[in-house]
Amino acid sequence: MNQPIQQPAPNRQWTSLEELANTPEFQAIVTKEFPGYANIFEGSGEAEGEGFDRRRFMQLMGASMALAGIAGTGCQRPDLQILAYSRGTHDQVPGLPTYYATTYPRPNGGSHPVVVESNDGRPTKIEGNPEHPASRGNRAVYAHGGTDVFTQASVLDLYHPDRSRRYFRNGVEIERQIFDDFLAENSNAILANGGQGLAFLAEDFASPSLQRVREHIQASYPQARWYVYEPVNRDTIHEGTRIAFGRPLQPTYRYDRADFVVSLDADFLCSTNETMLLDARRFNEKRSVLQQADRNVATNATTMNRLYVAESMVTVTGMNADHRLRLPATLVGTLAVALARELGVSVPGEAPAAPQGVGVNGEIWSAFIAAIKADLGAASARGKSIVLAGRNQPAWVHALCFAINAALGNLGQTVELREPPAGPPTGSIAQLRAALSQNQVNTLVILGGNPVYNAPADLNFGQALDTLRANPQKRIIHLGMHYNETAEKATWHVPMTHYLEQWGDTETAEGIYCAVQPLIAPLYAGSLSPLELVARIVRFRQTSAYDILRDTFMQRAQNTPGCADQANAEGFRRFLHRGFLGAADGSTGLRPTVNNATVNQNAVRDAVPSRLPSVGNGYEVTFHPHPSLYDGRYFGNGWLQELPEPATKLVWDNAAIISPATARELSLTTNDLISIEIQGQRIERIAVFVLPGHADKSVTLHLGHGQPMAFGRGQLAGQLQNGGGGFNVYPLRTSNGMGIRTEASLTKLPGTYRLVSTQDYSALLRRPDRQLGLIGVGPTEASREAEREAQVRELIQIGTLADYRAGRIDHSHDHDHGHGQDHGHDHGHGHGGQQRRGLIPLHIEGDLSRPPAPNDQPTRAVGIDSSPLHQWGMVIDLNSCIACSACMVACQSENNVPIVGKDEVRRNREMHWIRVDRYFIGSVEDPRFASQPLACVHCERAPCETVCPVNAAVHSPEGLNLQVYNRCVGTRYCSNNCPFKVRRFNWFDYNQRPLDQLRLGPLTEKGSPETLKMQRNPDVTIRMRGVMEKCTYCVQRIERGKAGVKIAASRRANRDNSNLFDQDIRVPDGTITPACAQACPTQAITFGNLLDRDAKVYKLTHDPKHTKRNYTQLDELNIKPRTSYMVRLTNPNETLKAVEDRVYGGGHHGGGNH
Amino acid sequence: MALIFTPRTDLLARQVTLGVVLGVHLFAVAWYYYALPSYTRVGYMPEQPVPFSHALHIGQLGMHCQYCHTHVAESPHSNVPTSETCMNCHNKQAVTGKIWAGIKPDSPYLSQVQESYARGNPVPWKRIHKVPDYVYFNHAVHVNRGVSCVSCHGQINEMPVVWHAKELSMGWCLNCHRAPSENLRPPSEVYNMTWVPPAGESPRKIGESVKDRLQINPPQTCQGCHR
Repeated sequence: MNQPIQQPAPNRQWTSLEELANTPEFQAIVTKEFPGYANIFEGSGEAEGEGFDRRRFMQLMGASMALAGIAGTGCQRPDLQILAYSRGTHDQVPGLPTYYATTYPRPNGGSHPVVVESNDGRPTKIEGNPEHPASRGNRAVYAHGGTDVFTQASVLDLYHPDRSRRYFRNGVEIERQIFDDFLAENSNAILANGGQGLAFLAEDFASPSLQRVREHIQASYPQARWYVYEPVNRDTIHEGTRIAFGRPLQPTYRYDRADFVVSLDADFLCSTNETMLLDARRFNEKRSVLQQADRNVATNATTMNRLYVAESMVTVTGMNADHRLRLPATLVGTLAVALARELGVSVPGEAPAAPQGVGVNGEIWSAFIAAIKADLGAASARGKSIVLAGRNQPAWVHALCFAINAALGNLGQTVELREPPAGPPTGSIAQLRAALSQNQVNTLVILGGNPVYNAPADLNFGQALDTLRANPQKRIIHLGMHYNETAEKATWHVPMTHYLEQWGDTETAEGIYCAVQPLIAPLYAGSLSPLELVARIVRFRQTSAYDILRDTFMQRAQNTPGCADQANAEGFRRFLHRGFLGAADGSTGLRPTVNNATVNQNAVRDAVPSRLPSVGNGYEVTFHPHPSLYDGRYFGNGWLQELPEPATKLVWDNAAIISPATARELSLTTNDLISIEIQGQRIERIAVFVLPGHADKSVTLHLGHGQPMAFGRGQLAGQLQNGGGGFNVYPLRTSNGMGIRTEASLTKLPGTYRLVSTQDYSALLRRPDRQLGLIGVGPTEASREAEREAQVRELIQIGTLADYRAGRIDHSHDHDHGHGQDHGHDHGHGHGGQQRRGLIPLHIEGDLSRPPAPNDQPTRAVGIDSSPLHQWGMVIDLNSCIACSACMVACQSENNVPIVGKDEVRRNREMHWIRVDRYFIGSVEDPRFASQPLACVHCERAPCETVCPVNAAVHSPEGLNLQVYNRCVGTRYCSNNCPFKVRRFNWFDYNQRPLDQLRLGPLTEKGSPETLKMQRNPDVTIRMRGVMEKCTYCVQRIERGKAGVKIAASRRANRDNSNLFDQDIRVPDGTITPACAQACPTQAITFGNLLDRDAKVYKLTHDPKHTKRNYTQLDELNIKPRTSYMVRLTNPNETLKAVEDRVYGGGHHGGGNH
Repeated sequence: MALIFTPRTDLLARQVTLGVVLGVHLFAVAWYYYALPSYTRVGYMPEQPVPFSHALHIGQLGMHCQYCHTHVAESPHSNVPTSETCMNCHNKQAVTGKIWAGIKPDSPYLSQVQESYARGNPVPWKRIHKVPDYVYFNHAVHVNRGVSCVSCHGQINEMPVVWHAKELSMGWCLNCHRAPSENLRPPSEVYNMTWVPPAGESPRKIGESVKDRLQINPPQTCQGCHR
């Protein structure tokens, strides 16, 4: 796409460069909901080079019809069985789920407390643990624990059909007994000489039980070695603390105490930040205007934190920033030095000048630094700011940041430091590689991970393993959940259990001791957890993980202040029940912080290079964990593959992401292919994606894609034949260049690659030629443009804090903008007082706000038109939403939403019921960003309901827009009419047919893999081909909540023969939470009963202190949605804002947007 | 010139029209008689692996429904009992190790249950009452609020082998949902198979009072049963 792009108007929201250029492809998307529909065979079979044309289709259909006629008939309904347990389980009620607390053990301090819903003994849905100190919300009503994207999707990993089920020896499947025999026979040899030659290469398991086993190894087999390797790690941070404080420490950031946050390439709001749940929640406490309004802080006294971000890639954190400076990651260090000087840290040399030739405006650079100095350097901000660097930055930048924090008084206030947990020493993978080359290793046990795929390229780890395995006296044992590249090179492959099948323990980043308890016995007999395998190999006195855990717990409880009284059987049961040890408010159980840590200024100064790094002649390349695949461990997870990357909205692929300026320089455009070479290492082939807002001269490479074995076989391989899989970037990643490498040369290759991004699918919402005569009819071009802007502005409203405090943001008196149809209905009702814009007046007999007086008649339901008990509504606070996409995966998990494969996503057929739309605002090179989660908004005057010929889209008396699957015949008129395009159609039987053969329909193998069926939520219908589906406000949860309240009330009333009133069977606020609301780490989504005066959602839509920010979308269509949004506020620094407005064009921060 | 339409054509046309009209009516009658749940389901009485007789256990012995269907009052699903439940009475010392031998321990009819208890495999009961997958029926809400087992499952206490007594079609459910008073009884009598309204009292009046007391307003909207 090389059409010239006109700079958009400053307030204009746009989603892609294609939109600005109005390319034919974009026009196709805007005019048709499902582009490419004209030829349904288009694109099928292209990968294999064979066509699938109409003639072939007719042949196949003819054959199958002939066969159908032969098939025997039988009208008898087949007998079904109903099978009860032979002996009951005591805590399971058939038909109701049971919930258990456990923890998702993750590396780098990312262990995540969860509560898992188990249906009939199968875990089906994961939620955060609301009682855990790491995930408690502060809002008393909704203390949901949130989750991040990986945790929500982890349940699918348990059921992955391509999971390793068997033992392998040298690539041949064997019986487990053979491995057991091998261990028994060779145990002495393996452990001889104090464990000489025994080496473990493990992932970062933060497991105190494993630590105990390791202590046993240290004591009994001191020659054995333990190495840890994580492709994505915190090494640079630990090295930075070592420089600054003399020893490695683990920092955690108290965003809830910080008024200013300066992030230097640190993506702390993305799920790839292992402590994101904690960080995002804390960040939100200072960001949220809603919480302050709750506490009756006056509007003009409202405060917000301010986020400055300097980064090369467009990340979740950058998209949330109040001020964002894009520059190559190599130059972030320069910025750090400049900031350090301004904030009182002594650094050598002169003040660095603004970098040249990388698209950084000199004025912006100076103003950016000056603003940070003014904000963080102020006396009132002392101890209330955070300066942090991202893991890609070299250690000296981290050290400098700690020095800055020290100078600002942040240590001990907003920056907490903790000693890492004590334990036996570990080695690095480089050290292991050295040991391998020196033949010092006889037995290598690889616990999880895929080092052959993701080890630093310069180590040639695969080759080392080949050499080791070739020696018949030596052996490699690989424990893993998938038969991957590393398993292929191992002598023995042992299947690993998933955390939902494991007994074990872990620690959060702050040191809270958490339980890992299984929800299901290992699906595949013989699979082991790392703890179990290691315990067996080193002959630990216990081989049962449960026993090991119990002992560790007893020890731990004894040694934790305030918890010694729990070191008994009852305490252990409580530990398993709650999922953690210690008080829920975190007052006990945390690892203590280091007080009075002082920064060694000399060491920091010495660490700063005398010549600050520059981008040089070539390009820089940065490696980022992928927001959906992390380091590649989730490559097989279909939900995560189809989850759009937050900035590019790419699915099923990664790309080499560059800025528009760099693309022009290299004559590249999205979908082109390039190769990247640095010092002899190369990525042979990778597709390009041009991303506005990316730094110039910089290429972002996301880790985790292009795994050669595609996990070996089976379902994923089939899905990937449909396209996708991405490009492996690990060949370019070396030990010295794990984060940033420079001097890359990019070579354009012939051909293109079809990347699929969902960024434009919301464009239909903003069709410039939308009807109703409102748009484009003004007398002058300027006024027509203004009308278009006015319509465009409706969707995401953004204002500044200053405007909010001054009262200039006020939606409380909005009335509906409908013209025509509704004379006499709502006119006059929209002003202040009772009637909230957007809601049809409801007729209720009786008053629900007080208990019944003795003479009251029971309030009576008034028929089916509208329920006087419940009217459901939802509010999404854009001020809190960070666009992490956890809601998308949670909804998919809860509602059995299928994945469709890359090819179908290309045709706009992805099935996500809720999606997060990302908008650029303003200039092409330096845009601002806005994101908005959007699901069915349950319009009261739904355009979809009136057009369904079979009445499958109906409105419930409680305000829900229902979709009755069994009635739907697949006209698709409803989604045609939906202005938000949130209705998803099942073009094929995505649940039961292989995704790479969808067009063969009935000729393919039918059936979902058995294990995937186990994940399905039994309370939600699974939709077949030809049926429309959409967000239901989690109607299954609503119904269960209502039923539960009725049952409980009826039992009470039956016992004493008393009467029930409406109040008794109305569901109290907070009982029902849709999956999206429950998963949100910042609790941005509020759901509840609009008739309940005590409900949060009522207050947000009726209470003047909140309604200032509350608005609904597309009011001119008179659809009266039940989901409303709260205006997003930014908090720019006024001085810097003025400079940015001047340089980038006005309105850069919103404001004037209401 | 030859006639295209001979006089015989008239007769043919009339006969064909009559035939088609009669055929369509016949089809409609056949459909509405044979193809609806009232015919296809009512009377379905499959042979069970174990000849458990509700007439004996409930009717004659007077056991309570909830002795076996333990979770009917709390769960959407009314569970069939585990083999363990049967063994409470029908245990065989050799199998359970209980000191006393139970009722008819050596009956060949019970061998499958005893084997199930011993080995852990379920007894393969044939399922009789099943609504489609897209219908979500909640037992607990019904039995706690005055709908008796009898209303939907018929006189179970008189069935030596259970048969499908009512059609359980959507229309049939809606008939009650639109006029619940017809089928409500005092919640304390829900499990009483032989309850009749006290002499002189109209069942509908009793139903009305239950409906008022418990604020019963059954959903008539799709949301109530379909998700």
